[in-house]
Amino acid sequence: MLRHTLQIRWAGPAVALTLLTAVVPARAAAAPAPPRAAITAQPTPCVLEAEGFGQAMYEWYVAADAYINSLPGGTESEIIAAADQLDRATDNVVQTGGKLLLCLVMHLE
Amino acid sequence: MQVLFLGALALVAACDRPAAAPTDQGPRALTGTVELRIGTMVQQYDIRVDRAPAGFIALLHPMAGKVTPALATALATRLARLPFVRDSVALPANPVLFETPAGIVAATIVYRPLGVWQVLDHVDATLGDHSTPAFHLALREPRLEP
Repeated sequence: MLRHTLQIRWAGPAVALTLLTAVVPARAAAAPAPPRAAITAQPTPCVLEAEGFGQAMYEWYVAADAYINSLPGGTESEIIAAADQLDRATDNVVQTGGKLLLCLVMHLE
Repeated sequence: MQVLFLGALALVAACDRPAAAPTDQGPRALTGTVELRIGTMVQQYDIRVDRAPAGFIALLHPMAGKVTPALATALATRLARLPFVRDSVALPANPVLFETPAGIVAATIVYRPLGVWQVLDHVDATLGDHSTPAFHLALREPRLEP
């Protein structure tokens, strides 16, 4: 009689647990799917990185031309300013070029 | 008698342990020279890439170059984040083209096998009509350290 009572005590929670686990996935499956437009509107991988690199490279060419043009007749302050601008442009090219490389390696495999 | 038995047991257990075999883990590090070229500007770096539990850790030291020491150091920090060494790599067909407001960006990435690793050989990126690579990064004379 004692053994029979123990079996009944454990059967209740087990049945309840089984019912719960059977119900939860059904609710999750009934959740609305994300709209198709939200999926297809995602940008192609690395386009933003490529745009950043292209802009940085364009600015580097402008800065390099400005530095070269400042050398013949520019004042000391003009040459230093052009050199600083070229340094910043160089740093930006390496930064954006690195981001583009990382993106291509990570996302286009 | 019991002492002898325990001693023999300890000896067997010690012999049963796997011996330390560093070669089983592959190479420990990679060294070489990195050449960075942007337009006509060239800067070289010593590079060492160590294997770490979570991947690879690169360290670059400026060598000869045309940029100021401060900029060379700053660029070394940025370059150290790049994947010079990978366990495996599968890349798209080169070059990868992007149409950007500044012009068409064409990027070429080449890795090559070195031992069990894939090592970055070079990266070229050009912008628009410029025939020479605007951005060129190459790893020269890579060597593995066991």
